Formats: sequence, structure tokens, C-alpha cells
Amino acid sequence: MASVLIWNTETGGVFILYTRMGEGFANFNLVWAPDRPWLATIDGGSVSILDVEKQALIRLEPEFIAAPRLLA
Amino acid sequence: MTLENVIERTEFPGEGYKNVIWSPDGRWIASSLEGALARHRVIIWDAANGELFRIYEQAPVYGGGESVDHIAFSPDSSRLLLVKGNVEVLDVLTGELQTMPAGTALSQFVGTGAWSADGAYIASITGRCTGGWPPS
Repeated sequence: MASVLIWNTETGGVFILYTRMGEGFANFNLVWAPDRPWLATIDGGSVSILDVEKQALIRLEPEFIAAPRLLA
Repeated sequence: MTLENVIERTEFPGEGYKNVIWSPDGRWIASSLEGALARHRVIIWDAANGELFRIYEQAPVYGGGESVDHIAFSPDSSRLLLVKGNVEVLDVLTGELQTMPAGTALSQFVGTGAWSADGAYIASITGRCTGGWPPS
């Protein structure tokens, strides 16, 4: 099991944003949006965007990854 | 002064530099070391004069690798994120170290971590250790 954890650096609060079952997490990576608290994660064969403040996950299927409206 | 010149001024026998990063404001250069280490080590230089400013040293954390896996400056360049089995934040100027609480004692953090653009959040990835806790 692998999880993305988020810490609020001001309050010290921590929460698990996203958990994936399975073995290994060598292909995990993550990057923040430059203008909002959204986090993109690479999880093997899929990319997800997470709204950290709303603690909401949008899992993107491959056909949606290139959609400009989602990445703008 | 070039980056190469700065790095050459500090050598640790038996250890090699794993990575190097600039702070966003260009004031600091940081690098983690790897090698036959009894301790995890990260070096911070003052980029303006090449002088060694701070050495971070900690015992390896169970679940971590032989070196600090990942380092990243906060957007305001005041703090350095250290991912190495656990997740810590080093205040560059004061040296104060903050260990970020883990979701579970069996967590191990690996490979990567990142600051949000405003510095309000840190993200990292954790998995469960296969061994018991504490390590034998």
C-alpha cells in the first residue's frame, strides 16, 4: 500500500490524501500546480489531480490526461 | 563563482554528492551525500561566497535509504525539505529541525517530496514497512 501524505506546514496537520493498494511505488512521483494547491501524482499507469484544500481526488483516465481544460 | 568551485571546496572522504539544488532566491546551494555513511548528511553553502553554512547530520531512519533521498527548498528559500525514511523540515538560518508526523509508525517515506507553490503544504509518498517496528 502506498499513500500520498500532505502536511500543512503552518499547523503541522497531516492527512492522507490518496492511498493505492498494491506492491511497490517506484513509479510514484508528484508535482504541485504553480498557482493553486492542487497536486498531480503519477501512479504507475495513471495520473491523478488532487485538490488539497478540498481533499478531493480526481483520477484521470489516460484519455483525459491531454484535455487542456483539465490541465489549464 | 561557479557551482563547481563551491562544491570543490568541501570534501568528505568516502562520501559522494548525490544531488545538488539551488534555493529559489539563489542564496543557498544544498547537496545530500551518499557513501559508506553512519549518518545522513546534507550540506548547505552560501552561494554568494561559497562558504559552508550548515551541515545537517542525523542517524539513518528505519525504512530509509543510505542517504537522504530527496531535498527541496521551500518557495521562500527559508526551509529545506528532507525525505529519508521520514520527512523533516530544516530551518536554514536557525538550524531548527521539525519532524513531520507520520500517518502511522509503520510508514516509510521514499524518493520524493514537494512544496506547494505557496509553501503552505508538503506532499510525500509513504508505504508500509515490511518489517516490524521498532527495527531489530
